[in-house]
Amino acid sequence: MLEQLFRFWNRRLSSAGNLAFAAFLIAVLSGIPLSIGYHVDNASDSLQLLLLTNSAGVFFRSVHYWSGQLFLLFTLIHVIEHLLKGGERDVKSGLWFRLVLVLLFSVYVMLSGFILKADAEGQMARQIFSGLLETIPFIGKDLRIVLIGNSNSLGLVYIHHLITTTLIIGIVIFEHVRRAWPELLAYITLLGTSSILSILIPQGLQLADAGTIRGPWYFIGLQELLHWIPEPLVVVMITFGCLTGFLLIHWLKPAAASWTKRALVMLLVFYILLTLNNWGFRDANWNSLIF
Amino acid sequence: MPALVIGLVSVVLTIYHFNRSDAPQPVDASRIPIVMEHREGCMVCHEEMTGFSPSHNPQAVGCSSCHLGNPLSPEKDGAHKGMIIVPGNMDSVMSSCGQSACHHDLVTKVTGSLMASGQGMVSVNRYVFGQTPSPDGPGHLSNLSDSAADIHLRQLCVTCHLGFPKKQSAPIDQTSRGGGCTACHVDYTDQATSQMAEYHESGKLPLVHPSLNIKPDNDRCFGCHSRSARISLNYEGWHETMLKAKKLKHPEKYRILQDRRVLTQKGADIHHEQGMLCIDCHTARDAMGDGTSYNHQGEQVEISCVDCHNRKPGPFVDYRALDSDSVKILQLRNISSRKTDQYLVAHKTGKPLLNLTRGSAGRMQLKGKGDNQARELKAPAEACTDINGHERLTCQTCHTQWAPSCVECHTQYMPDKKRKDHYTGDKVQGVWKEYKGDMRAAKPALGVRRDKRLNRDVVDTFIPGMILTIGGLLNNKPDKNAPNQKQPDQFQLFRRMFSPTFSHTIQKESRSCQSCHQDPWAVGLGKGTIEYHAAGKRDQQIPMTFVPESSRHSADGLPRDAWTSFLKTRTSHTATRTGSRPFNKQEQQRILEVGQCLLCHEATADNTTRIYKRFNQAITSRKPACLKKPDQPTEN
Amino acid sequence: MITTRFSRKQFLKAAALLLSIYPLKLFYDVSRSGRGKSAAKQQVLPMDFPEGISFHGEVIAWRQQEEIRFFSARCPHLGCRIDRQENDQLVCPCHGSRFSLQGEVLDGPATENLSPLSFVTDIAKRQITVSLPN
Repeated sequence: MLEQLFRFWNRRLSSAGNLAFAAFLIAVLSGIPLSIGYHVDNASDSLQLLLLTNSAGVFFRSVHYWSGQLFLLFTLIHVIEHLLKGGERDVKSGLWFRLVLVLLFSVYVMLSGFILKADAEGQMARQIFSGLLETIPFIGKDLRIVLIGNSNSLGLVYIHHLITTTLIIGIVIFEHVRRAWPELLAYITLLGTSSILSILIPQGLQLADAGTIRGPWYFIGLQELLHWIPEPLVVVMITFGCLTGFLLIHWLKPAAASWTKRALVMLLVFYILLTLNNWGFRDANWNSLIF
Repeated sequence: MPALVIGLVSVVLTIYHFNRSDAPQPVDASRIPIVMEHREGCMVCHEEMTGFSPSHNPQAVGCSSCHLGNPLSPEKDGAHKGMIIVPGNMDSVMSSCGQSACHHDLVTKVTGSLMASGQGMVSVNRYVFGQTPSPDGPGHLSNLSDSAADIHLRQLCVTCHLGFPKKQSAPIDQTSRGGGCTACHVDYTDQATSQMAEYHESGKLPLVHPSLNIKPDNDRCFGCHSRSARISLNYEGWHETMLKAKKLKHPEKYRILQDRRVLTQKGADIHHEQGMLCIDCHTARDAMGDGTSYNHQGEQVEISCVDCHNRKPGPFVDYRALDSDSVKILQLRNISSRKTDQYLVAHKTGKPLLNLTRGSAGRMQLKGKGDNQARELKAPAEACTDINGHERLTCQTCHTQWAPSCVECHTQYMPDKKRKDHYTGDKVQGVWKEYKGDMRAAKPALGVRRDKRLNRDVVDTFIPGMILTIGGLLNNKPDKNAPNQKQPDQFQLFRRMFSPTFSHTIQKESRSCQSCHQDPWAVGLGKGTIEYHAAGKRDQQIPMTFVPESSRHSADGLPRDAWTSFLKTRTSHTATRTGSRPFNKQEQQRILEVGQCLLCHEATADNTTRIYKRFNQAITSRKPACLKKPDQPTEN
Repeated sequence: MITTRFSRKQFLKAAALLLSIYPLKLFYDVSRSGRGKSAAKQQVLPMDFPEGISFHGEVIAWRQQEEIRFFSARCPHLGCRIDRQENDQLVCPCHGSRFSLQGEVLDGPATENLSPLSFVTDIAKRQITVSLPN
């Protein structure tokens, strides 16, 4: 049934993969003018001034945000679309490994962007990400230093968001797609959608004492899980386990791979339910509105 | 194809967005101040606003901390999204006044206090309607049900609580109700008032903002407290008549309120004559709550007469030992020479009363919170404390000049009529209508009240709380088939209850001895005369009869304005407070007996020493002349 | 000509991989430099902060009459800043951990109490200096 849906979609619009590629490019391009107004040493204030004094800046920032979210969304849809047909075996082992790695880097580039907002939510996200990394045994603290940095400054996160992840993701996409540019129609669709979203729902900042403090939408389920499980390392290990399972489906026999994929889909559904519970049924102070 | 459509739409939308007429103009960063660690964009458009108090100035707290909205948007619509035009209403107070960075604890106390909950109003009303067995109990004016009692409250009383929302920006007037924090603390200068009036008429934005301060004038209290026991009216000496404003022959003799009630002057409270405001006695803890959930008004009041009027005032607390909230209040009130002063501590709560000080010279004084004038405090007279038999009297028993006594009314349920239900805001079918009986300004009746703090009975002033018939109830719900006309005798529920009150009509002069000891109204019998008869023997009780003026009510046979029965003890459903009651048979006898002696022996200093201060002995040594039938008392 | 089990291409790939570890290590060293963790920080508060609980950035202050106490606002779960109070409980906005007004953990993923902080009072300046943990 899903396959029918994908076929229907691909006939009328560009495929999810193309759209994801287009989104990535638009995010990179829209980020460039932002770096003119964004001062990483005074991040929050520079963004507040951008919002108040520069309507073009507001527009580019929103396009940057929306194209980024669409990038993650379409990447996930693209993965689901191809894994439905056993696509994990269509690529070589090395590329598969790099693609899974790039999936992680994509999440990291999104999260780093969220952290770079430097508002109340961004600061909390940085704190939580740090805390989670540090629970990893042996390499945790070092991993945190490499990904977030050693001091309270956002400098390292900024460098990774601008350069490191952009390069790595760009190179692997190129290796995967064998093209430098996405389809023109994909580009138009995605730029158009981002622009429309940016004008209708421009992005702001979440100032402190503003009530609900939530992470990015793709991590709400994780935030909810962290509420239920007191030991953060358990959550980190669950995540690591899911990722390992996902990585291994390339090398597993088709039957085992199929079962693993089913299990992952169940986990995804559970994750979406956790997300919905938090979004719809919790107030700012984590009181449940239904229990 | 869909791609091209999306592309086209986005191009058109983007071009429109950047070229529309109300696009924001570019602004220099230096014009956008940083307030509470963020840029406050509101102040770019609204930088000409003035009129603020120093602590709630936008330079200190911004605009968005009270009014919410989005301070990071340069456009009007974006900035005003989610804005609260009238902050301070209880439904949104936790996001504005009560946010973590501001007055969180204070707002929590207010939401639990009586002005917000009206707990006594709800519990007593339910008791009177027979819904509950006691006047005490839980209840909140924002949580009312569909019972007869609660519908009665919803139609007639519910607007008087802080949770009732204030919808329009405007100064507080006689018709104001509710508004949360702004019910008391918003102060409109004349300029702010006229500009706001102009805004409502023509839409011209006012440039003078009302200020927030801790000097609520008496007019803030007036709206709600000119109802029920009429305290705000009594304090200034006004008594509500039953006259109609449009039918007055000499309107200049009266005061007519905004709601067309007609008032006549009966004599103000001495504290008002001395220029004191409500807040000079009623502290912040008393009015706003101290965290404890009280059931009735009298329990929440912190101040008592003996705090100021005491031969040996005290205890006191030094400035250095004051808590931080008190220090802050002193700073805000600019009360000078505070560091060397000692502050009186309230008897009831042990907390400091910041306007009652003893200077280095040892003189106690009260500084008015409104005018900062010093007033000397007088100690009570000897007579206040050294008459046998008067041990249980409260100060107000003798010093209350008059109290509004509303005698007999009828509340009828009319199933066919419609009126607004203030709880939901809708017009509903089925109306409780009140018919007033007589409304007198008379010296109050007296009775016994249980003082919870002192843990003993005291004699206090009482006014009719409820002498009424409630018609049209069936199984405690409004009866659709109830008779439609005013037929007070065809009732289904009859109540005769009085309520302890502090009428706020205190004067230096006390009431005369005769006004209690010979007056049946004071004893709770209703208007009339007491006839004394010959005692015969010295050891016999003085026989008396009571001749009431009012006719008897068919419900219980008592005079229509009485509280209790002559020389009988009434016990059930007598008062709207647990532990309050009319005088019992023995008490009535003892009080009225003194009245017989007063017929001949005026309460001069000599007679008082010889007879009244040692009444129990004096009555056993009566001369034969005392035992004959005396001349009856004349009308007081 | 040396015939081995590995082709030249495979050998070069392996060598490149091994050699790239060293630059990664250098990168790690650069990341670690930065400004370094700041020295023991302090927060200065006015002496007259309100009764009950008040929030001052990384410090939660509690006062009842003369008694005062300070707690770190860092949640022991994952380090979020606790900035709010509901009824008589401190609530962490990130995952909902709850603490009593004395910093004792009551509910939620956190399992430890809030760290109490030491302080020094300067009566002349009417200030209190609270020492923050590293």
